[in-house]
Amino acid sequence: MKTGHVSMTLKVLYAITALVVIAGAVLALSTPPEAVQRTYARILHIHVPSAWLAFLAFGVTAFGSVMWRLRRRLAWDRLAASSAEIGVLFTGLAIVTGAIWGRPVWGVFFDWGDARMASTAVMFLVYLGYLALRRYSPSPEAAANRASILGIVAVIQVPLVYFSVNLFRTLHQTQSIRPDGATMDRSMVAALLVNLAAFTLLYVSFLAARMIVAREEARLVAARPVAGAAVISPPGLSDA
Amino acid sequence: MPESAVVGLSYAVTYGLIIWYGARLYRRMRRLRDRG
Repeated sequence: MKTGHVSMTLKVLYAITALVVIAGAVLALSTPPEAVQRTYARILHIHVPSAWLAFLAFGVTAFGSVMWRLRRRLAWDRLAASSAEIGVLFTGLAIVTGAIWGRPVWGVFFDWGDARMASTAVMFLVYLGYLALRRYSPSPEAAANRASILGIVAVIQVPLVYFSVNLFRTLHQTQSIRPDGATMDRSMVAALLVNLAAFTLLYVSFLAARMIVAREEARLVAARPVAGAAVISPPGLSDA
Repeated sequence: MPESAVVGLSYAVTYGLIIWYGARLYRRMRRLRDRG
């Protein structure tokens, strides 16, 4: 594994990420209490960036999947797989923080009748299935072929989850930041934007590290001797 | 449960999971570097 310039670049990226994440947390926890939801509204600053990363990660998975089908280079498949794993982590976080927030303000941790919650949970399960599909494929090429189809088809859920609050008026509120402006105080918008940047940097840091791990694991698997490879066929037996 | 405890719990879960995943990736990178 190259550890020289790669690790130096990564170290700088990690340092910047850590600083922005700490700044984001401090800003988020010092925002004024909201008029209706009081301090519970501070959960917004980790809940929304987690959901944003889920959308970003699954978008990148679809892009990597398309590129694998066009170019047949396993690096594109590793991009898709690495991004999906990070996406599952942050979708899980969006669901958990939403549940912790929902209990005191809505009275429920989770409601299958709510369009946003249900569609997010389905998206989480589909991408868990994507990771399982990869794990139980017989070869890296088979995993890439099978997973790329799901990676391309499943991304349709991203706009469905995002617009579910506009399509169905259920429990979850509509978007807080819209093209015509934000529905929040300026200090809250600033804290949210810093946390969106912090989580995006986290995504880039995790993706870089995860892709290095995937590349090195693939190299180890390729270098591993295949069982029976050293056995010489008896005379008279052909490979056909 | 007090409001601050609920907010604190959500932040602890979020940053706890982020640190756990980052540490897991770091350990895997180190293990692969030691092998290869």
